[in-house]
Amino acid sequence: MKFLENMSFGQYVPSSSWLHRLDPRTKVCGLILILTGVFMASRPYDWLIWTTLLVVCARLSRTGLGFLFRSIRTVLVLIVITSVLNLFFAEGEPIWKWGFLSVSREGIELAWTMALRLALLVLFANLLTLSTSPMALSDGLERLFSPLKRVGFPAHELAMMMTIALRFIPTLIGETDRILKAQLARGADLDHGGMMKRVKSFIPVLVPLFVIVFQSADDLAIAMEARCYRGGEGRTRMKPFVWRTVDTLSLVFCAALIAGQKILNWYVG
Amino acid sequence: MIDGLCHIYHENTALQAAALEGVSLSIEKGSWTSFIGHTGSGKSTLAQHLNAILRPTRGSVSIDGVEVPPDGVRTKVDLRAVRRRVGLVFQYPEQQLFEETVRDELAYAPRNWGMREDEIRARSLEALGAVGLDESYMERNPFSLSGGEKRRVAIASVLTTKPEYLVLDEPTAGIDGRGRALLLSLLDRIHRNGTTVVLITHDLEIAFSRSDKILVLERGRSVGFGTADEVARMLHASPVPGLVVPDVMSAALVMRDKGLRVPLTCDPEKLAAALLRERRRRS
Repeated sequence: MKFLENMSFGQYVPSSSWLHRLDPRTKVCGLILILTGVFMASRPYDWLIWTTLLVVCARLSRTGLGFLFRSIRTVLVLIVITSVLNLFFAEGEPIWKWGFLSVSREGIELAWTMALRLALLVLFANLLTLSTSPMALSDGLERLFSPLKRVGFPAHELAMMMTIALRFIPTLIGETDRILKAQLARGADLDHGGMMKRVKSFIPVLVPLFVIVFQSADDLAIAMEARCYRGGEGRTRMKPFVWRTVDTLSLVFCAALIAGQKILNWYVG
Repeated sequence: MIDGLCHIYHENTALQAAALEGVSLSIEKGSWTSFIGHTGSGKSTLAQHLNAILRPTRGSVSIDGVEVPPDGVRTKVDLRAVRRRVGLVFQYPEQQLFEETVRDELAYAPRNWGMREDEIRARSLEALGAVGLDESYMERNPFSLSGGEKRRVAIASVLTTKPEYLVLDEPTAGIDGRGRALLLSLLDRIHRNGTTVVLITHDLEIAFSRSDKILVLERGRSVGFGTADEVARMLHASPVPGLVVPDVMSAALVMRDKGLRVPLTCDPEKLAAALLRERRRRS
């Protein structure tokens, strides 16, 4: 029996690939740039650019495309619903009508563009989390937001909260799995019966899980205090970020791609 | 009966990890079998196959003639019936407690199997007695008990179904000497009453002093399966790192090498008695 075992979305896959070694700040900024580009794309050859970029990035991260595409499953429903809605409700000349439903040429176009756009969004975002350890990611974000500290923005606290939250996801998945199995061994029946019965049958899993969560939070607080954690003031890093030339070049490349997309839009559009 | 069992977590993903590779063994009714091996050797994964919580990736597991279908296959085989016969006490079982009273906690499993309330009550009391707690515990909140008491309640909550096979994953982990002795006498009693015991443990002294058969696991492979004597001799001849034969037993092994007729035992008293006998025989 497999419980919660196939969580490929948002999971970090350790490796020492080119993409993994890039500075997290570059990856976050690069992702923002790329996503801007993806939002500007609309014609088939635009998509070719961004899809190629995705494949190249996947190569550079040394993850199989199969593994990457599996991560889309979690949001597949969302993508399908969005494109179906677009298909029927976009304005334009109807080419097919059935009752109150009508499909227009614009609708079809919008539907597949939307689907592609969402899929690319998810895949690129997933490449970021897959190639950046949660620790590096939140440190990177902290650094990116640190100029805002002057106006009272709690960059360090937010980053710390994010790190802790991310850090505990796998732990909680593991604990849930273990408790689920323990209750199954005591004869729990989780997949039969009506809605109410099923919801109720999860109480034996949720209660112990909450107990464990509070316990771990307590333990963590004590462990942090024992190591004299006093917030971000004057904290140094064990592994300071090093900005390399590749980082600059990567960002320039992303910016150039956007510029290219913009020019294409002018000339063609 | 387990034949050529393999279990692979996250198969065909970047996180693929083989936990068991070609393990075969059979467990006799009424016997005491121990799985030894260090952390990550696949002991717990193997244990979870014994009541079909996990299903084999390859190979086969059959429990009293019921074949457990392979992983990922939809099945009509009633796995819950298998789980009723094979009780499984997980590592740190006290973490599975969730009810407000010990009474309800103990009633959870039998209620799941649809037993009558009066029978549940009788069984709960019996199980509570078996783990050395009295009736006054019935109305207490399990979360207010001490660590050792919690663990005993959790074990009792598995005993309420009166399983024919009882699988325990590291039941002595993290409890003090007195708790350990109490737990062992409980296991001995259950075993004497005819329950088949499968014990997963780091504690080789427990394994060697009680088991009919011992399975040694190393990185998901079985590196030895036999009687306590056989396994002790094997570990003595070719040590597996991290698995140290208990001192008294290795002393006995050395004495045997030197030609003394002593039993392979973990009990110092028995060894001393045998040595005295040997001295009398020689003089």
